[in-house]
Amino acid sequence: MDRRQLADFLRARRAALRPEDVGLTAGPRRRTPGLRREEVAALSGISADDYSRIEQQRGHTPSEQVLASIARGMHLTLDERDHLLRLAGHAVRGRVERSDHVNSGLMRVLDRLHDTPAQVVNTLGETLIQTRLAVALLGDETSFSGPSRSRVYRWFTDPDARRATPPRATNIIPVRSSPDCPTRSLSTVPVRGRVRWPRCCRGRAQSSEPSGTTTPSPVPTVSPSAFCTLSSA
Amino acid sequence: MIEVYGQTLLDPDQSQALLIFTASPGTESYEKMQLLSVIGAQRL
Repeated sequence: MDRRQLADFLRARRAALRPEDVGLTAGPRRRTPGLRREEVAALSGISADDYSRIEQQRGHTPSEQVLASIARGMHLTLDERDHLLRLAGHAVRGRVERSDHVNSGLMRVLDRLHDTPAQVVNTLGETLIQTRLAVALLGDETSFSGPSRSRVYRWFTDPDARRATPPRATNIIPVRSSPDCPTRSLSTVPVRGRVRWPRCCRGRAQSSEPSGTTTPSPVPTVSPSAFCTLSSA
Repeated sequence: MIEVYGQTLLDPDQSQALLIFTASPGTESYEKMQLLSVIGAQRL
């Protein structure tokens, strides 16, 4: 149990609540924003002493039931409730179904797609199995380990993965970079928001279609969210 | 550049998705894909 974080979390949530959020009237003489400890305790159906002990990092580990009551009383979201339980060291049942087993029916479908790039991914974006052509097109995505197994994780952490799957074509401006440009590894830059161009790239951005303007790359690459545009050398 | 259409088929029971990439027949991308299916993953 992480007493300090548990206490910090409860205090922060309590401070963020306005009385009217939980059906109380604000009333006069409220010195601090947020609810009082006694109010949270009353809403949660536990004693003010019991609640205070948790915020003051004293006493036993609060039970799952007590924390669930507090979560309800404070109108926490499901994610916040799970976070609360985890901080107290309780096991939280996963809400996302997860299986890495590809069932036989889907395997047979995949077997019939031998002339097509196709692959099975789980909810975490981990590639479980690929056809031969998917390997040729995207590279072997099943050989990663740890968090890198997820293509989402790779996209945010691995510049190669991001280069291979640039943002959607409708949102990008291809950049023709010069050889001495430090950002030449970036073939695309988002249009939305403020884009600060590196000096060497200014004036080189084009608003045309990305074809032919991407940085040459030895491997075929695929576009991310829609998996729609592939660029290769 | 190869342009492909990405079709996602969901298997809700297993929480898995089958991604299928296809190129429109008659396009340059389609021909590149044909070539790729012959040469496979080997580097040229």
